[in-house]
Amino acid sequence: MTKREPNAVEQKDGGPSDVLQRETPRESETKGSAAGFLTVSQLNRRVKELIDGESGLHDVLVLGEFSNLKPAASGHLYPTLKDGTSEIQCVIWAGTVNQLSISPREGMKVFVLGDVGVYEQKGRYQLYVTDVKRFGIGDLYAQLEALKIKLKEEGLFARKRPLPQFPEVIGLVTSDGGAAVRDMIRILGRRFPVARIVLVPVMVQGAEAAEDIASGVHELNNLRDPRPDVIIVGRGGGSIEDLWAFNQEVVARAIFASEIPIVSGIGHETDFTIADFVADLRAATPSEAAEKVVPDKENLLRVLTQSQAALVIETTELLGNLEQGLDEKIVLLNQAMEEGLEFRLNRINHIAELLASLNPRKVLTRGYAVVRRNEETVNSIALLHPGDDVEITVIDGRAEARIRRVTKHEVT
Amino acid sequence: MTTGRKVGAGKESVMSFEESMKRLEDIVTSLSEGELPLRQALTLYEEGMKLVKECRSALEDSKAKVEKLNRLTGELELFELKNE
Repeated sequence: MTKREPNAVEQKDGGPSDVLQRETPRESETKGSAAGFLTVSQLNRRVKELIDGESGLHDVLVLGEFSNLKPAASGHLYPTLKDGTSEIQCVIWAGTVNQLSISPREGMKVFVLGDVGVYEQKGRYQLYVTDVKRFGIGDLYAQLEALKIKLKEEGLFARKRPLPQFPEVIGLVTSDGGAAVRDMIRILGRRFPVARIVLVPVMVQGAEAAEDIASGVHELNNLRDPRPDVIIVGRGGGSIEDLWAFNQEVVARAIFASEIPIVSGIGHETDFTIADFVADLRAATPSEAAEKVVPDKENLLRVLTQSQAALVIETTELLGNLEQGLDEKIVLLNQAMEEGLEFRLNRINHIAELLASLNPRKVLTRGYAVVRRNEETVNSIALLHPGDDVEITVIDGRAEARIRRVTKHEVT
Repeated sequence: MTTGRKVGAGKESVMSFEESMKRLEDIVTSLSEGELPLRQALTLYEEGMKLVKECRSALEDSKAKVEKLNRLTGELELFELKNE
């Protein structure tokens, strides 16, 4: 790059007066100093020397926007470089202009490499430009911020759907080469081997990546058999430019349009892309996305063991309760039986007394006798005839007798 | 092709893993509420134990199936991870 060409522009007068001008300040410098004051020239010279001696003002890279780029007749440019609050006058010599890799335009955001110097005659410090580079990332960031605001206002960042607890079909939108897809498949398979994984291979960087990623999300949404339960949009780490596809509006729109919940895992922990903001869940990396999407096998096995224990405990308890109920019923039954028995015993005693009172022997004690004829108790006179032999039983003995006469009572 | 891996595939069960896990949870809840008649409780117990067994073997015996969408044909092709 062309270094400064001093005296080329500033000293337009040139000629003999140049010599005079140059001589005068030097002369007055000593005089002035001695006199306790400085001439303007002396002051500017001091400032110039100060600035020239300051290494931090040489080969500085300055970010700003160009304006006032109209070339002078000489071909030199005297643009203004500014940012939101300040500006600095620049000088780009014609020779440098011709060697620049870009042609600066009004409003262009640029990195300017140069040295700060002083234009003594005007008492002005300015930036003597040696190179200019377009600030691409800056433009991208500006676009990014604008897009972020727009999408946020549209509500694209606000929708956060819950993820399925046990996703059996997991869609991956990522490159089919590289570590990211390997890591995700390995983690998904280890944690949740019941899963089925459907990979949609997409380009994850380059000019067509954004469209490709968006299309991948659509394609998974259109898949019916198997229908994904959740989708991971992922990419391994890279520079911010590498990840730029995930900052594109088309990707944001595709994620928002997805009927299937989406988890993003893009780059490293510190990378936030627009896709991350729109996704239902942001994971820091593809691996983390895989971990967040599926339950862990070991945990599930523990849950199963607990469930099994609960089944046994609850059922045993139920049986225990039933048994206890049964025991209580047996006690009641025994009680009832005992009570019933007592009642019956009382009854039996009563009957026994009754029976005892009816015992014919008891009647005999009162002086009655039993007459039997041929072993048959005589309970009617009709059974007896004169001459019959009968047996008479009294309480303490028996007698034999013969009937002499029979008289029947008239029963009224 | 069916959606998802079926628990106890090939047998009478047609529940997905998710359905099985949720059913198991429901069964444990029903049993722990303890209001069930014995016959029903025992039926649930048996069903629960069967689900535990099926889910466990699904987790322990399965290997995640990985497919790649052929974006030209729309067909799914088996995708093998290359060993490092």
